[in-house]
Amino acid sequence: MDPSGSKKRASAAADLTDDLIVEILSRLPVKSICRFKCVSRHWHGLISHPEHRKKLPQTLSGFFYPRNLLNHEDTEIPDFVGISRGEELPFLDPSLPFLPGYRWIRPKDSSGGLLLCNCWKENPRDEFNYVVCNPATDKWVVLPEAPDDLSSVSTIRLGFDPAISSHFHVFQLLEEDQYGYITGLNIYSSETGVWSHKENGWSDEVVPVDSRGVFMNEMLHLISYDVTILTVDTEGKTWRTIPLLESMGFENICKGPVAFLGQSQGRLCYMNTRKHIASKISVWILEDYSAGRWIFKYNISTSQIFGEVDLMMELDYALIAIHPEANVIFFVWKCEDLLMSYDMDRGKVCVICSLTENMYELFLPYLPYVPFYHGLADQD
Amino acid sequence: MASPAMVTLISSDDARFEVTEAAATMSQTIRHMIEDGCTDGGIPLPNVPARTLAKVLEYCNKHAAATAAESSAAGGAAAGSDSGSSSSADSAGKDDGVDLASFDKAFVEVDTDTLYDLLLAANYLDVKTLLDLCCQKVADMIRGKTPEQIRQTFGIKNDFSPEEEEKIRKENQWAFE
Repeated sequence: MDPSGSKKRASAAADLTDDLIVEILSRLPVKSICRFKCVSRHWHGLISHPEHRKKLPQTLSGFFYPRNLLNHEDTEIPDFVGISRGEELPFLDPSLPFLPGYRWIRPKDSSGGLLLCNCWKENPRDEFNYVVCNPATDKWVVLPEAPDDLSSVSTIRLGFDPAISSHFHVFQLLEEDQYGYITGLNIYSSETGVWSHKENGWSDEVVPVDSRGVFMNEMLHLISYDVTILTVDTEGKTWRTIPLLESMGFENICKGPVAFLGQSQGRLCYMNTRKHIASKISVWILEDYSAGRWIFKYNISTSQIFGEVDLMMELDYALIAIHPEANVIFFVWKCEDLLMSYDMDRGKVCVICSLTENMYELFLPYLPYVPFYHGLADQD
Repeated sequence: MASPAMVTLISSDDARFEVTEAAATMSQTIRHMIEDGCTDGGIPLPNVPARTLAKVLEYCNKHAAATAAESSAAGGAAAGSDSGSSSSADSAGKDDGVDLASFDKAFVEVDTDTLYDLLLAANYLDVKTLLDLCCQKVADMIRGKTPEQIRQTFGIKNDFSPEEEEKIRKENQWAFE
C-alpha cells in the first residue's frame, strides 16, 4: 500500500466536521453507534451530546419508577435510574415537572419513549387523570374519561411504535368482578382523540396476568393465566391467542405468576420458572411470529447470579426488562436493593446500581425507557 | 426554444466550468450567490478543486436534466386530452426514477478519498440530495467496523486511557457481538 496515499486518505476523512460525522452516524443502526463510543473522547462526546442524540437512534437508557416522598405522606413522583453511568439523561428532571396541578404521579407503562401515568389532582384530591407524556420533549396529553362501563378496569397499557405510526394507543382491559374474566377493552387512539369500546374477542374466561405487556407489530401482547399469550391490535379487530409449550407453564405464587414477557431484537421473549426448579429461569423466543413457534434459548441459574440458592422470582427478585437490542436481562434484587443485569451470551452478572429502599411495596414497577425526541405522536 | 441560462463556476485551482443555471442552482450556496447578483466574471468556489467540482457537476447535470424531463412530462400529461398520453408520461417518469437510482448508486462507487472530497463539497455547496447520498455511502461502509478500524479510517487518535476504554466497552458490550 502506498503510505502517502493512506496518509492523504486519513486527512481527507479528518476534514469532516462534527455536523457531517453526526449526519453519517444518524444513518447507522444503534448497535454501531454504541460501539463507536469507544473510538475517542471526541466521538464519545459527539454521540452523547443531547442535541446530537435527537438525530441518532437510541436504545434502552434506564428505568422510570415511582418514588414516595417520605415527608409528604401522599405524594409520589416519578424518578429515573440510568444504566450507563456518566451518560447525560435526555431530560433535566425525571419527576415530570411540566405536568401541572398533580400531587401524586405514578408511571404505569412505557412504550416507544412515551410514559403513561396515573396522575392524582391537588384539587379535588379524589380525582385523577391518565396522562401520556414524553419526558424528553415535555409534551403531554390528558386522556379523556373512558366510556362508563359496569366492569372494573384491571389493567391499562400503552402502545407506541414511532417506526410504524406517529400515533399512540392506550388499552384499558375490562373485567367482571367475580373471577376477573375479561369482558372487553377500551382503546384510546391519539389520532381520533377518543376511546372506543370493544367486546372481548378472545375466548371466554380468560384472565390476563397483571404484569407488563409488550407492544410490537402494532399489537398488544399479554400473558394470560391459562398459559397463553393474548394479542389484540390497536383497533380491537384482530384478536389472537398464541399457545405456549407445556414446559413454558408457570406457577402462581401469592404475588402472581412467575413468568415474564419482553421484546428483544424484534422478537417476543418469554421467561418462566417452575416450582420444583425455582432456581432456574428458562428463556424462550417466539421464532416464528405468525406460526406461533417458540424455541428454547437459555437456562439461567439464579444461584449463579445471586450466589444464593432457591431465590424466588417475584419474591426475592423481579425481572424488569430484556434489552431491546441484546441478550441481556435486567432485574431487581429485593433484599439487597440492587439493580442488576445478566448477559445471557456470556453468563456475566453486573451490578448497575443501588436502588433507594422501598418499604411500601414488594416491588416497584421499573419501566424501561428508550428516549424518543420527536414530540408526542403528532402533537408537535 | 430559448437556450438555457448559463453560469460560469471557478474552482479553487482556477478551472472554469460552464453549466446551466438549473444544474448550478441545485447548490443552494450557488443559488444564493446568483440571487445576490455575484455572477459577473464567474462564481468563485475557493473550497472546491476542479477534480471534485467536475464530479459534483456531473451529478447536478444529470439530476437537473431528470427534473426538467419530469416536469415537462407532467406538464404534457396535464395538457394532454386523452388518457393514453398521460399514462405514457407516467411510465417515462418511472423509468427516469430507476435510471436516477442506478446513476446515484454508480456515482458513489469511488475510492474513499474521492468520496470524502465529494462529501465535503456537497456540504459546502449545499446540495442536499448529494450530501444524503454520500453520507449514506459512508454509513454503509463503516457500519460493521470496530472502533480501531474507525480510528484508522478517520485518522483519529485514541485518547482514552485503557481503563476508560474498557469501562465504556463493558457498558456497551452487546454492541461488540
